[in-house]
Amino acid sequence: MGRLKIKKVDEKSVEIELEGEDHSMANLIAKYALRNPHTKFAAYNVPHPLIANPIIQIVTDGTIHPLDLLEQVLKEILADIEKFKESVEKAFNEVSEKGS
Amino acid sequence: MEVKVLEHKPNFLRLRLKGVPLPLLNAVRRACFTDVPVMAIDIVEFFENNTVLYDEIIAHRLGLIPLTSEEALEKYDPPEKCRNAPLGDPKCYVVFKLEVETGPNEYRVVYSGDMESSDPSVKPLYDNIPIVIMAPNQSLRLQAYARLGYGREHAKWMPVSIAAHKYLPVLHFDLEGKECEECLKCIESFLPELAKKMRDQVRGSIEILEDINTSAIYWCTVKRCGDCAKLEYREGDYLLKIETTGALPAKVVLFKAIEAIKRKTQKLLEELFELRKQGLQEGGRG
Repeated sequence: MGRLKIKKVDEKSVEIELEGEDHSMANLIAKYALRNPHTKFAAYNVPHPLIANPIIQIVTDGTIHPLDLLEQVLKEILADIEKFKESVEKAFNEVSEKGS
Repeated sequence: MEVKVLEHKPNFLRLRLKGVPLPLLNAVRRACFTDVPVMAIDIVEFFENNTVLYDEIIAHRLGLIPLTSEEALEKYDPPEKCRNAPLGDPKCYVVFKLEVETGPNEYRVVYSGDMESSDPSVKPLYDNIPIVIMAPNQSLRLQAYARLGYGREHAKWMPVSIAAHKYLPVLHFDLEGKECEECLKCIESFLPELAKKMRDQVRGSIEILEDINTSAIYWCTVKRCGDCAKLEYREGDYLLKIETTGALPAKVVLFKAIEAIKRKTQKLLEELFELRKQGLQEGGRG
């Protein structure tokens, strides 16, 4: 499963490779990075459709280190997925209460 | 985030999700296909086969038979751990035996139910899936090994046949003082109940929560309705539909998919920490 590789990094931009991942995680990270106000550019591509190694590029406006931003993004995703899980659990509980 | 269960059957699930970020929902949807493990036959040893189908074709057909996997998820090791396990390892593999012979005047169909499983909790979901048709004096003897696997490896390990989301269709209409008969007739021909609601309410909005294809209504609103009605596909408001093969209940698939995304994100976060720590020790940044 997924292995993170930092291919390039400087003060403003980072290029990471997700070994063994596919569009699911790459798209998730890129789109979440775009929501951050310090992001100037965030996108991903899959260099080869049969080899699952998407590359994500993030460029910041310089006020934040791109790896800090990436860390924030991953934490945001974790928080959101937790919220999502709770909402789904709540929805199922409501149904089972109605049913009984 | 607001979630409502619209339909819930063992193998079928429909949810309405409000305020869930689209990339997150899409990741979970895709994880339903590729990151929820189920059991499927992977390796087949043939001892005897003089039926009309080659060994390979039978092996392929066996692989595609859905197996009950709910208990197996707890009982057996995940695919990562089993990568290098020896064939027949009881923590990784379930063994199926199939031995069929036909007499001199006998024709028969071999069904999935003819296989004997080493674990009663892992068995073909349906007993009536045909494997091969046998002519007189033929025999088929084989041993098959099933293991947990991910859908990204092969489609036989996909727990879902459908996992799809779409924007919630909302029909806005205002019929007062307008010539709308043509519009209503058009919608009526596809969804009489909807047209009736429109006639009764005269103006307003209807959220179409049913599991239907709304492209016909869209055609009506564009070609026949003018100002009378408009169909909106509402952003940030989604319908998610999951239909499983039966190997796992739809609810379990959804929660396992959520877990998978969570686990992967956590792992990436840990790796990022690790990489940065190493980078700092070497004096470099990041």
